[in-house]
Amino acid sequence: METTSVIQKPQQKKQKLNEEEDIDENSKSLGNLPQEILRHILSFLPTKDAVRISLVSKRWEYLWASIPNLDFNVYRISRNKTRKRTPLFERTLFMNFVDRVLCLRDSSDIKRFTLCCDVLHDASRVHTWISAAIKHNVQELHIDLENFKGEFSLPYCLFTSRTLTSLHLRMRCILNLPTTIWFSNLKILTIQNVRFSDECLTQQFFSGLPVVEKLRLQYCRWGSLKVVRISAPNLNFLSIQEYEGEGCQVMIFGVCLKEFHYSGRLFNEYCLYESIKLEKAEISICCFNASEQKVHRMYNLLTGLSNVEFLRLSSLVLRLKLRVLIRGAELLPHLPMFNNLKNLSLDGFSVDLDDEALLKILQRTPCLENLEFLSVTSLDLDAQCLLS
Amino acid sequence: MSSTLCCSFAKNVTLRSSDGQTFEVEEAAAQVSQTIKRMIEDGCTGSVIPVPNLTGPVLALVIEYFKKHSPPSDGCPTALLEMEIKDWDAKFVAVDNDTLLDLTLAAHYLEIQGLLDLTCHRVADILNDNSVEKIREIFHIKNDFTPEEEAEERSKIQWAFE
Repeated sequence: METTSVIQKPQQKKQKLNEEEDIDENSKSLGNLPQEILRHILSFLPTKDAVRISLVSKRWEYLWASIPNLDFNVYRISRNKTRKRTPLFERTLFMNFVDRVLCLRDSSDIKRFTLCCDVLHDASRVHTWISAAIKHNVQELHIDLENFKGEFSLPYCLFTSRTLTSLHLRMRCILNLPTTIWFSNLKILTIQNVRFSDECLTQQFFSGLPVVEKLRLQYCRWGSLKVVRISAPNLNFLSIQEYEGEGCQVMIFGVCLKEFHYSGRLFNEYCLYESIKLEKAEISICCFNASEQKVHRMYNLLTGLSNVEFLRLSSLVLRLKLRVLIRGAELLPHLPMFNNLKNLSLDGFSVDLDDEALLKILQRTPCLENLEFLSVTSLDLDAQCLLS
Repeated sequence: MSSTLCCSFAKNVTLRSSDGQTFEVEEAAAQVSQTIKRMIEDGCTGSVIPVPNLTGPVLALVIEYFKKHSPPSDGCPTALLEMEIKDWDAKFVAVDNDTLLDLTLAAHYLEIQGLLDLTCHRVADILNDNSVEKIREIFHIKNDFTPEEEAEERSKIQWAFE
């Protein structure tokens, strides 16, 4: 790429430099940039700093009233990456700050809204803030609430938002749901630590996700719910992590599902249906021993994965014998055929040569190309030869 | 405007700054600016394109940016190239504050979104690293609050100073 620059009038250059010096004093100042540019600059700053900077001069005073992203996080992170307790005085300042920023907000839309704080006795105030975000057509909402002192409900208008594309909800409390739920634009949903309570409304919730593509359920509790049916026609990624449960049966209908992750202790029963497009599955089990019930759940889980091409089975408890997890003379014959499985990875298990479960799995995987053992503690050399 | 006439100019355009300096640059590179792109589409290719809001030295810098950011002639940019451009960008805006403001305004006038994001981000980083008092000093901004007004405003947003 060739470019030539021709400076035609050198004498004018000198003149220009003098002019520029004048400009320096009169107008070349950050404060004199068009408001549009100043707003753009503020959009790169955390909310806290965008507002702090309003004290620079009067022209800057309410520039933050239209910044597209608002993030309010009361927590400071300590060295070991845990949240520090917020002193009450500081929390009061925080609450007043959020009130002021939302109260003086102009009519422009909010793109991303993040709220991380302790709720304590301020449930209605927090409720109002989230409502304000919804009313400003928020697209990405990140709610992370702790320390509830009483009942808390999210604003019901959240559940029918037409603009919301991404929702991250982390709160250790019951999720109170309205009767009408329809997230018409929501593509990414993460729910953490939430407790579901009403079977019918929970059903509504998981049927109101017409365009969700990514769903993460992390440490959610199904409480006394017996059956939950998740049907999301556009879902292509699902990840579930759990550490407690009372045997809820979770049925997942995802015709577009490509990737599935499960990590937990098999306290609940998860099964995929109609997952004909499933390519990849990662199952991490954390069990010291497996009751008959858990073995059943493991089978149900595996049955739904029969179309996968890549499967990783991990034991989070080292040296767990594979046959402990996949056992039982009456169950082994029911192991599904994995007709598409090309890559199988076994991680953290203790595998023996005469492991009936392993041999059974190998019999059911006619197209297997790669078999991988990761952090296997006891693998007989002969077995390795045999398997390769 | 006939198409044969356009082709015979080997796809170069001439840009003239406010102080009369002229710069020849590839048409494809200059079209990184939406403003210039529109002017070319409106048929200014044959003559000199005036850029009255930019002085010569600033226009020269902007043209450097054009050259680095003109679309590659052979398809998609590679990840390596993108990384190289990112490094180049970072060095490009590591300039004194006056030049940074000039570039910001130039990006605004010439509608170069990439450059505008780059310069605004850089300004934001400087703002983020400094106190209100220091910001006024760095960017020659006059404090027009009375001490009482400033104290009152500060008390309303005290959390931002914690």
